[in-house]
Amino acid sequence: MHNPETPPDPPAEPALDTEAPADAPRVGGGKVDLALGVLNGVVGDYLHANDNGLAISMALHHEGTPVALTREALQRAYPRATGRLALWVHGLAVTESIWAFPGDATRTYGAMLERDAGLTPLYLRYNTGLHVSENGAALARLLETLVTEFPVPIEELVLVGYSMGGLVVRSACHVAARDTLTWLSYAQRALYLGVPHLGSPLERVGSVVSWVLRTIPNAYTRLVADVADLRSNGVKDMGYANLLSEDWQGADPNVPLQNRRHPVPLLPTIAHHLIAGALSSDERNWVSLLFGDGIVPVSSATGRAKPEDRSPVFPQENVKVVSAIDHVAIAHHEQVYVLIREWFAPEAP
Amino acid sequence: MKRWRGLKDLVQDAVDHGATAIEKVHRTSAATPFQLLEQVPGLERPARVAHGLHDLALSGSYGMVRLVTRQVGKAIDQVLDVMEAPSACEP
Repeated sequence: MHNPETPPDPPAEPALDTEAPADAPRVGGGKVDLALGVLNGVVGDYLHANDNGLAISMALHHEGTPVALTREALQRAYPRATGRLALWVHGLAVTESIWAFPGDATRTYGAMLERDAGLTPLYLRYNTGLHVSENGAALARLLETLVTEFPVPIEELVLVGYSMGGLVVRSACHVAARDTLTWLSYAQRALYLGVPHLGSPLERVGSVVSWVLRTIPNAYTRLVADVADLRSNGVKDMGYANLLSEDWQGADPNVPLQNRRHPVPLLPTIAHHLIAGALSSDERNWVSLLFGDGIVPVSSATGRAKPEDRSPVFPQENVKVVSAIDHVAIAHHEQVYVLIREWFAPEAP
Repeated sequence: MKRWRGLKDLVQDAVDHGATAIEKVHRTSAATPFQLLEQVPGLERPARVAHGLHDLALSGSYGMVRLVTRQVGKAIDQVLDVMEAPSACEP
């Protein structure tokens, strides 16, 4: 029986549907593809330079298999496509399977947003060991072909990047603006999930450790430094979020902590939405302040740049911090989808 | 098949470069006691000879690892070529 002295419970809000639509395709391939994603993240630049068959080539993937950029292949892969597309770009050392919620390869933000906002999901897979600038240029070319070959006239292209994927998206936009590519006119909204816009301190620590080991005149520590330096160009780019080839070309490999980043202004034609993660339940807690989501600090993921960061400051009206979440979970978490839906499908039931 | 060939190349490169890196460490570490012995009066020549023999044996051992790896790599390449080639019995 209800106690008259205590206010009645507020009516329960309708639960947000974060279940996978019944007919959603699964994302990602098998365990071999997952292993190749990791391998490419670690030594993908080496594999690419040696024309090794394990190197991943950038391509859209549907149900784990690459989709050729021809009208027929696109029609076959996306028979129900609308003119409103969302491109999902994964992060370092993973594949598009990172978008799947644990235990259900069909449950993704892409599938839910297709149901709630009519945005057809396109999943990109690429070699994350290459420089961000190389992947950015490749993505810009891929999208230019996509907009000419897509079987349905394109109305909108939403760009979504998780972790390194967000940097690749920004690099591609820079190339498109520089080369006046047509696809950029369709891109009016971008979403960045746990993207290290100001770089990742983890990589900077790794670079210092490697430098220290190399300066010690000992064959064993130099061997460890050699192994540490095997990490790919993509990993090294994460230290200062290098977006352009000028950021890394000509850098002295023997000098650690070189912020050679050239500021890339945010395109005013695109609305930028950012979601950052914080490990503790309070964003201002010291754990969150120090470690952010465990990989990317909150200041980096929210683009709160200081002048010495040599990076544009992101408008903060479209920035949200999700608490009690780690970096990996940002790519598949109900709380994150709630925010995405608020921005991209506010009118959905 | 492309992936199998890639895996073979990667393992071969890892063994090749790994052997070279360990050989470098081995040679540098062994050089220190030899250099000390070479400074002891009366031991310079035998120590220098022993140092040379040691380095020769080192190059031979690690070189053999690289050689065998490359030969095994070539053999696997041939097997993969045969598997890739269309069968002569096929219509």
